Amino acid sequence: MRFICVDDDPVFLDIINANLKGQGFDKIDCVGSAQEVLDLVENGIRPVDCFLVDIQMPDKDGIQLCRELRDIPRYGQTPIVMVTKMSEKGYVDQAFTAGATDYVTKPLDELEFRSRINMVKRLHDERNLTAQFRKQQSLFGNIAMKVEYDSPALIPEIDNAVEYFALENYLLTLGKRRLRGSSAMGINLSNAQVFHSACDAEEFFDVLADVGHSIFECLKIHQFLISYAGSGNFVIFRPNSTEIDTESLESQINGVLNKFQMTFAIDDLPVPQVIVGPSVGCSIFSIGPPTKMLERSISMVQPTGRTTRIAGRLAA
Amino acid sequence: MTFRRSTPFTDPSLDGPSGAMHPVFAAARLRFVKMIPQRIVKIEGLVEDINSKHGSSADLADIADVAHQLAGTAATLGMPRIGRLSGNVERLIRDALSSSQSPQSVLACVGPEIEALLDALEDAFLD
Repeated sequence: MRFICVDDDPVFLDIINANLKGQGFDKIDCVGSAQEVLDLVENGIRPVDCFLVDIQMPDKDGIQLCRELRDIPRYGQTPIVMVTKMSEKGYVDQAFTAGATDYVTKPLDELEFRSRINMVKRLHDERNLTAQFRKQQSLFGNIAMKVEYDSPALIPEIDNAVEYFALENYLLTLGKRRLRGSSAMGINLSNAQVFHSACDAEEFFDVLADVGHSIFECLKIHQFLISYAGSGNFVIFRPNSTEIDTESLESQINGVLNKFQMTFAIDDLPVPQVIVGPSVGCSIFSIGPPTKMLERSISMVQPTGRTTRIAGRLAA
Repeated sequence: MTFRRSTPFTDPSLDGPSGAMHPVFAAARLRFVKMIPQRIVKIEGLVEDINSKHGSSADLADIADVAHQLAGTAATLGMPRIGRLSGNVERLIRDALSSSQSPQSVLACVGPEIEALLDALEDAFLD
């Protein structure tokens, strides 16, 4: 793996450099400003596998650097880990909205830093394997490439979209106390299996993007992050828990999708249809990590959950 | 996903120069200590400019920036006192910068904290 580390404090760069070398990595570039990072990626021949970015730097800060790196197609999904003293929620929010994958605060805990880098390495290795597999498949030509049904994915071209892995890291970074008052809502693409069976990877992602955009259109007056968690499940994270009429939202989203009936019919596909689950909050007294609220929101729109909702409606 | 710890690195073996230090940090700590004089000179220069009434809010922000760097690194290197003092200086200045106080009056409030930080830096350099 090749790392680029940026921090205006040369001593801290020494610490990060030594830490990474201690973990067995040896392709590490350390620079002192955001512009040097952008110059390196523009002129560099070897791709970068992970960026470690300080936030508070003169001229251009790390959050702006993160935005600009995400605008470079090659680095749209490369792990960007913020390594910073800024622990306030506002900075965390801005970093993840700008596309950060993870957030580590100074002073650096060596064991925690090591575990975060290990997670980044696992992500990198998984993506490499998938890319190699697809490359091999494409050599045989005309074989439709499939994506794993339960794999999370980044929904393209939506400002509020974050990778599921990054959303989990965001919740873990904030912790339960700062997540008080926030909520998560699961939205399930009920005929996802049909699309997954009938479509190749690109077509399946197009369907996910259409659904994601429809959800975005219906929620855009709200503040939220949207993520695709795999298995047809989208998660909406909101920093508040103002009531949303889930039945009405479900009708709205399906209404938007129904407008494209002809488009899907041409490809012999049904119209994607969604089920919206209830909002789930995060209690500081609940057992387990803050990410449990994402899991709960998803479980509320699974087949068992759906039966419960339908029974609930009938009972009402 | 494992649940994260939020405590900073607090290996007691790093307290003071006589403690055995993890090799990863020893070289970085040495470089940090070598940079102390230039940081002291920078902070003192900015304080002098502000006191002479030539200084501006930008000079205060520069002091906060130096304090920010110190805070992030010192605690990681086993200098929690410098980390705490510089964190205080940074926080106090940034809070004051959002108000309409003059740089001189901000400095009057933050001065004792800055002095304590400079003393701690000197102690770390001379040890």
